[in-house]
Amino acid sequence: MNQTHQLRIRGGTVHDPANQIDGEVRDICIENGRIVTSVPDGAPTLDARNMVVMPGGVDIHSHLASSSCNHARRLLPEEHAAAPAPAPGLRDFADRSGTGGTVPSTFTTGYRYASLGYTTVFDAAVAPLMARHSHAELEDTPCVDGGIFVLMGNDEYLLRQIAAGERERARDYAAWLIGATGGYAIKIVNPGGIEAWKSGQRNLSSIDDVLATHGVTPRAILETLADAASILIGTDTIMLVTDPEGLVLEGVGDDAALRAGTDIALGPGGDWREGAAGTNGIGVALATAQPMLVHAGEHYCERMKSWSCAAAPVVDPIDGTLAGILNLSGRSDTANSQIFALAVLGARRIEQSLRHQADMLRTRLLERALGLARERVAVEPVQRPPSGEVLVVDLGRRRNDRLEWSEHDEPRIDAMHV
Amino acid sequence: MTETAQMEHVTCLGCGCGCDDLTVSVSDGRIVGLNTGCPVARAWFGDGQVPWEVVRTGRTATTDEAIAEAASLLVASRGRCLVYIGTDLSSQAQRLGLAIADALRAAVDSATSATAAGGLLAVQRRGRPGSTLGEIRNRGDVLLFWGVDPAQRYPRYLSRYALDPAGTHVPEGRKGRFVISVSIGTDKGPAASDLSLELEPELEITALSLMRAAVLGRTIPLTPPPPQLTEAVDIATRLSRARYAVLVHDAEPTSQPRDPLRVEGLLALTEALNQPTRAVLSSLRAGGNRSGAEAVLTWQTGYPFAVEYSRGYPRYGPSERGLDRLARGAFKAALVLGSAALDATTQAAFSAASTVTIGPRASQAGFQSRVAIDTGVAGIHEGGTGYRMDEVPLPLKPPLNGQRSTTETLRSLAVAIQRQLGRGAS
Repeated sequence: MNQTHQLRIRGGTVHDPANQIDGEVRDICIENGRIVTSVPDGAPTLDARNMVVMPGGVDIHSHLASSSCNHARRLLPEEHAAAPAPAPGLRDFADRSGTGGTVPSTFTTGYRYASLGYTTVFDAAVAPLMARHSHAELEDTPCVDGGIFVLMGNDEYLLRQIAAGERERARDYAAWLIGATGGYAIKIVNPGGIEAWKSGQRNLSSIDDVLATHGVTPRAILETLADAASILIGTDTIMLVTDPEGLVLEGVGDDAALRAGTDIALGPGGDWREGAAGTNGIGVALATAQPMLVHAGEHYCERMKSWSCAAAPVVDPIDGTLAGILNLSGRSDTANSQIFALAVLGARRIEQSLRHQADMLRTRLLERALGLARERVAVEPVQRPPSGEVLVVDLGRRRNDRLEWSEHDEPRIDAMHV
Repeated sequence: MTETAQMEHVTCLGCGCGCDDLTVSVSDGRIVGLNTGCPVARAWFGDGQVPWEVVRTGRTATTDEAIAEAASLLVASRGRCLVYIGTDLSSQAQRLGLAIADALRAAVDSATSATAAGGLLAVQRRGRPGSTLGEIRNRGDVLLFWGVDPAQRYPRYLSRYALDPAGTHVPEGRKGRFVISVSIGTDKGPAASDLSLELEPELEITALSLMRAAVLGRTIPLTPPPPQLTEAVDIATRLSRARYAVLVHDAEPTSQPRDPLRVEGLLALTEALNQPTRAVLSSLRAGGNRSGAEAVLTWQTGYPFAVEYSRGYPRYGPSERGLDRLARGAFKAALVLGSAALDATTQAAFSAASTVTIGPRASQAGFQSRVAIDTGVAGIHEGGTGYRMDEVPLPLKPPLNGQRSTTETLRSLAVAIQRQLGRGAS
């Protein structure tokens, strides 16, 4: 079964601001990746006497792994020569030598960050085109986890979308850039000013100066990207769509919340019928055909106790049956009752859109069927398209007409009995 | 009948242009078509056939035997061996090559040519006003070709980047660009130009100095001024009036012996042009991912080439390169990675040392190897990252399946070396 991993970090000077521990000499015990009160005497021990024990530092703004860092390294051979860095001689580790200076080599950077108590570092200025290079450098930066912020304040395509008033497209493009480059955040440096310099306008000195080539201001760039960022990330909320049986078909939203949700089957494939999962928003909404907000402890469902869920049924406008559930979920400490209103609103919008779609299809079917009947055309049987459905349309004395349709094709009649 | 499969967006490492818009047709494990007439690309891909031999002291061996032998041989020469990073390697393979060099306390030399090395040293002294090829395409309105016609060795440079295409700030394409062609002795600029100048090699550096002075608004009185130098100053004035000037030179060896001060003169001129306007210097580089080797060396050691680890940390020795030391018998063993185009003296030196060769066509290298392991060509048989001449990293999309991967082979060798070193230490 599960092997227990235990460790006692003995005699270190502990600094932990979040728990008001400021320089206390004490042991820290760890079991299976969590800090615990104690571990048995026989547990492995790390001697930390005369050392600081602290939570790993996170440097959210560094410049350590980018093509510009590498250019800086290349420009400073004399600094590297003056700062040789032999391999640190770590046990059980193929450690590497390097050089120091203003911009040390990647391996040396990793060892130095670790010796300062850091465990995570972000490079705060990576051009999208050079992201691949940054990831390679981060792979060669040992001991610390790394990430990149993606430069967008002077991006040609983005500037054009902002100039054209295409805010949504700008937002979608920013989202795509973050995904395509493996970035953690949008970074803006001198918005518009770098483009101004390249196109001969020197620089922009105020937030309302106009970038001549594109007719946009730094303010517009900042506002667009700030909007995009606030919409895209940090909402801590996810949206799920289920089928009429309570099976989750799709999930979108905040990455971290999506991952946390997937861990407890709150994601595609999860079965949230009340009988299967215990009392939860989706299950209750399914059973009652009413919108439902279930908050934290109200869940009779252990894995959902730290979540709040708002679920609203979506009714098929054609036949009035339940088409599925729209569900918004967030961590219970950050989510508020507004997600309930949002879920209901979202469900109504989906119903409207379904009704509109159905109306359009019905009109097309009717036109087509009437046209064919008038012409008395015999129609060859056709293969049912994958997205097709069969509708029975009563055209009075013509019975059993079977029509197939899909969203993309013209409706077709595969048999007519006149 | 065998089916022909097509793979799109394949990256070519034939020259430093790194064209990543190619469609390669493959039938029965052979490359049978390419959607470009570029002669460099055609020569680079060929039919994609390479040998897949493993040879140990003249006899066929298994990969495991060959790696064990290679590790013993290299570990026995620790501190007295050379790692040569040739071409046609992905950056992932280059990184493993350096990990091995670090463990072996080896000297490292690479395919960075003597001329390109001189240019890198000039950049270290002066800095580098450069840009990506995309910036050149989208902004360059005055192009100066200094002793080079890119059509010869970088066939698609003009059609993809510098001359023909419409750019965001040069919507008229070729018509919106003013082309200046300067020939230095036998190194000719492009024949089709809006302005041209022929310079004797001995006037080149003087011309560059006068041009820079003119851009900075100074004059250096010369009596009588040679007419060519007056024309050079006129060119400088034309460059000053550009919106975005692009100076292009060849950083690889050419027919004409190169004045070592050329790159420094061009860098200084480009830098000066950034006072009245915007200007960048585009250094044309050959292919095979040699720019990638420089990038990897720089991030792992701090230096772009000519590194050695004999003291347990990287040191820079640009004045005494590894291949020269090999020729003088300074190394007991050598590890050659990738393809290596070497002169007869260097080949003889590799034959004299105990040499391990790993890479495309290793078994057919022009020198004797104690161990030779054939692997695939980066971008043809294996993926990874390749760098364009402007140091933009590109994903490689191999159209063929290789029988033995370079990175896997090098990873096995690195592990075997670590294991032997660990045993030796305990």
